[in-house]
Amino acid sequence: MPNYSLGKMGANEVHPLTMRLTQINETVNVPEFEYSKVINLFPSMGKSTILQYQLEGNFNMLPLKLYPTFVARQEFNKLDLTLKANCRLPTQLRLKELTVRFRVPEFVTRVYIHEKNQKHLPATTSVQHWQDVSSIASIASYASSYVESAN
Amino acid sequence: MFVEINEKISAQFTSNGFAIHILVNGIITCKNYILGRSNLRIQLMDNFRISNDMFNPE
Repeated sequence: MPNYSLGKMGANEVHPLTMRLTQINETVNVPEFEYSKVINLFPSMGKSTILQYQLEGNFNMLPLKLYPTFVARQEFNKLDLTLKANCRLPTQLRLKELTVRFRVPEFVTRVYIHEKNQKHLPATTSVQHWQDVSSIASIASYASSYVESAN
Repeated sequence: MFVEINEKISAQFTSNGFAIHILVNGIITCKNYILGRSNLRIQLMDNFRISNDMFNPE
């Protein structure tokens, strides 16, 4: 599990992050794990689940940092959004998939997508196209984009 | 013996990129090809506490 550091409640109040266990291997000594944070087990042959868990809240550290930039171009009645992603994982690790969803104001009628880093295109080539908002079921799903790890 | 950690992270960000809510669903799996009884010990960071609803139902 990556180090997410501690979540901050108030000005100086810091509480420890809470891990909620949803499944744990039957050979794990649970009280020992709760106390020492050591998962001690005797795995069976083949594939098995050691631990399934959930973390919720606000952490100081995520493996990915997003840098959105909004620029209003009023002369064209346009709003430009540039989204940059910075992967903070060590080089031997990678993001398997990244999906970004964002909302646009209701009065927006067209969305232009300027895509980069497409696998089937040369690195220097980019594609720009537009689509009527009314012709797509969900602007949020259309705006989903898959971005490769920055590594 | 291979240990794999997979996490699905869902986060909501403000327009300037700060995360305001984060949900992590993680799973640690093991593929064991060693004959006989083998012991595996994994030390996690200790800056979190464990809420164990499964074993300590309220």
